[in-house]
Amino acid sequence: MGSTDGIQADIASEIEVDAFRRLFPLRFYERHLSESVRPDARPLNKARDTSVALGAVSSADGSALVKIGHTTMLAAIKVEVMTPSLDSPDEGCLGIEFNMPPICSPSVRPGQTAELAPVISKQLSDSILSSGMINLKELSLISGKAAWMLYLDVYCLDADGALFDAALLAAVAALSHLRIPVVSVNDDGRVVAMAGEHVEGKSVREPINREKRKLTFSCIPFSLTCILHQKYILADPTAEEELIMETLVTVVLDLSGRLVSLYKLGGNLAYNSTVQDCVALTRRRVKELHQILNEAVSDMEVD
Amino acid sequence: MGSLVHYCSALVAAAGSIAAAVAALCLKKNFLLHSSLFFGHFGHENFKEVKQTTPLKSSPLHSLCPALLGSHTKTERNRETEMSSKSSSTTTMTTTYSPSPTVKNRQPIIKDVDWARPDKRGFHQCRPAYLNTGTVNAASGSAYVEFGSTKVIVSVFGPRESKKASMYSDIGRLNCNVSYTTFATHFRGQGTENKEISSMLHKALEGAIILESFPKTTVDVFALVLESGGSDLPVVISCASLALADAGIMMYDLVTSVSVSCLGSNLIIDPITEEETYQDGSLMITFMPSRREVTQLTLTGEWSTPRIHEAMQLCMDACCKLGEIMRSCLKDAAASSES
Amino acid sequence: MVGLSAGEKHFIKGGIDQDLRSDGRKRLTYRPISIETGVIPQANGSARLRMGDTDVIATVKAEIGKPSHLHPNRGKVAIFVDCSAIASPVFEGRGGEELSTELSVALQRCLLGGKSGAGAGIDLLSLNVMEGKICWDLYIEGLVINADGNLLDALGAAIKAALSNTGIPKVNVAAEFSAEEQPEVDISDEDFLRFDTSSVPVIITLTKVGKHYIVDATSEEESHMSSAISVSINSRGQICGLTKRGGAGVDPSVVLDMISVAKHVSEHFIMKLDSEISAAEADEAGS
Repeated sequence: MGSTDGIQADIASEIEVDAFRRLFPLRFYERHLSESVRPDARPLNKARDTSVALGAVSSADGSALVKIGHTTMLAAIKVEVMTPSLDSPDEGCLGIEFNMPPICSPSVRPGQTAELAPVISKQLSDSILSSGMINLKELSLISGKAAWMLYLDVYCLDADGALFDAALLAAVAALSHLRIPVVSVNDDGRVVAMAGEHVEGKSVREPINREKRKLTFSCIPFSLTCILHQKYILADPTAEEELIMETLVTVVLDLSGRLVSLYKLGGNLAYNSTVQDCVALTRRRVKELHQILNEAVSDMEVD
Repeated sequence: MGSLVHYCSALVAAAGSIAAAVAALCLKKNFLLHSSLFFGHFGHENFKEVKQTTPLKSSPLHSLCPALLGSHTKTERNRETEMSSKSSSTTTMTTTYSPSPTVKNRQPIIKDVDWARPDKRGFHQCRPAYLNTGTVNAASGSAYVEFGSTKVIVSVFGPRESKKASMYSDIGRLNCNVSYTTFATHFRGQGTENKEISSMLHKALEGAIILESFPKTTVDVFALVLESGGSDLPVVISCASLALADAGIMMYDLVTSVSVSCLGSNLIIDPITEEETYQDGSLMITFMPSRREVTQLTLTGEWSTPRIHEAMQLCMDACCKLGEIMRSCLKDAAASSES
Repeated sequence: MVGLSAGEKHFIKGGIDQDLRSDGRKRLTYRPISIETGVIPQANGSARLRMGDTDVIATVKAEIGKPSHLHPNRGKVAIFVDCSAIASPVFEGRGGEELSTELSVALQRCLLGGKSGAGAGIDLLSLNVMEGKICWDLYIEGLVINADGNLLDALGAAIKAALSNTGIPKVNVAAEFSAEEQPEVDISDEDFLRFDTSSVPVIITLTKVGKHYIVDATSEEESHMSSAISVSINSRGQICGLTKRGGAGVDPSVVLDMISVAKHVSEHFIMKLDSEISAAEADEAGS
């Protein structure tokens, strides 16, 4: 039967391996798991290579491109001005949406939204808003009259598993890259952008904020998705693994280790201890992700 | 006669001089540098001498000042959105508007004899291009193309079973779909599919694909415009044909496309959004360089026949150059995947 | 769309090679055109055009609107085409959407000129009422009642006829108003401004069958085509828009050749169309 180590360069056995992988995927994976390794040579608790790049799209006010293995997400923020609601006149608003365009996966058809898209959209929105990362009061311009509305759109460019993790990281990275533009109020009471960054001699209009500013964050959420299968926990699954093994647990923690959200939607029963193990894995991952994000942000500042 | 078209040479040395020239304008850290990390495979710039292709180590700098230009929005069939003010967008709960100014600060361009293009290109110079295949792992074939600030990703799926077709057909079907992200244009859009551009993409490609090679099945070509910086449809078409080649779909020839704008008495090639808004006429050609055939030609505005001839010649030269660059990109991709 | 057997296709192609089409016309001859104007009284302007069996109606409606920020001294025009299910059962529901979009885009391209407004068939400056505040919005609709080939030419000609039939009411703006409010507008019922349609272009579609070009193809001939070019030419002989239809590739010299043939045909066609339109107007005025 198919050999588990593809080290043998024998063509006959390679073809057999591929066929075995297609025909009996679960057995293929279990043979790997019994050796505590996965087909792409990762140990069970290791996530794929992650990279973050800020400023991907120049037409948006803040943007980020995140790649975890092959999963690629592009997040971008556009700021617009809105009138705040009556019961919170000092607060702006953050609208988060996750889209899966048809390019990302063969299962997505144009004209129909993918099944996963609204689910991840809601999870993303909940995680970011409940973590308290953004202080909505910072987004206020004129109390009661004008406030910033941030439209954060995350597009999946390539879907290869662990979509929520990549989306959350992309959203957080885009928010770190965001620069609120310099604006002032013109005669009609509308808020207009000031041309250029140097505001000199414009005595008629007073700018509301002197320079392009960044938002301050109180606690940044990071996440890790794990798959539970029998007694194994696989961190950061690929799309193939997600298809075969059904039980997904997503843990969202912030930097200080506090739990922001925990998602376990359906699948088999999970024991308390297993969930604790997932949380421990996430804790380690959070540190990695934080470091990657900081490097990306400091790369941007240098230029 | 030398060719009418020359491209920005983007060798690293030359990039230095370009960098000096654009230092005065806003610089944004380019997607390109990081995309080379992600996509792993380096694309090519448009060169005068096509043979010199160096991998992109330094990011070619985009010299456009964003956020001051009111660009045209893509309109849907819905009358209300077409006729309504361009600077408002509606959400389900609140009405928001963008603070960016909509009035252009460059008014009659035509009267200005010494008018230079905003990004300091010559009239017959295309933007530097970055081409890359194999970007999307989940697709049969994919390509990513950047022309200046116009960034497009195209994925090709197939040949696969078609859900729509119910009748037997002994030739394959082509299904095209182009959509914009909400942040692609200057003012936030709706992010929906653009039917006009989708159908134009379909017409441009169907003449080039050998449909008989995949009977009963469908090839799906999906495009996503990440950022729209002008001349969107030609870039989408070129990217789509790269993606089709990457997927191994049989074609008669690569399809390349370039558009030319007429501003007053000047013909400028590969216009950006600002130039397109003020153009007096435009000509877009989709060309198969090796077979020397035009698969699609659209023209707007008022033209005289010699003008049309001149513009077509210009476009076809540019298309041939672009075709060579696309070929070398594909050859490099094939070579690196073998090694 | 009609399905043709191989024998029929061969017959059509052979006939065209010998300058004799199935209905007895020469290659560059149009079918007889008949125009009626004012068929829809509620619209500001309307016309019905029959070109052989192809039957289309074009209507023009004008409404007061606000000009766009980019061009505050111009009106706005929107063109839509509807392929109704009357023409063919294929057009029912969303079936005709693709064809409608293609025709609408082609008409917009031909009639509206470049983005800056240069070369437009319709003079948008004349639609301005008050700069930056009030302008006329024209909604031009085309309805296809019977489709027997050459829809684009028929629609273009019908729109030209409808525009010459259009009356834009005179508008009196209240003299005093503050900068913020919308000024009061008094639309008169009596006086009308007529449109000047001498610069509205006509669209000529040339279909390439084998080695020759034919004009005004019927739907049988269209199903046999390899490629077609629709050229919009105005009375001054300038090309106002061009679309290549059909998927097959075509040599660029062929394109230029077709443009010159189209120009040649257009002179004759424009004269014929103008005389038909004025005859139709005369009929309407008389009745």
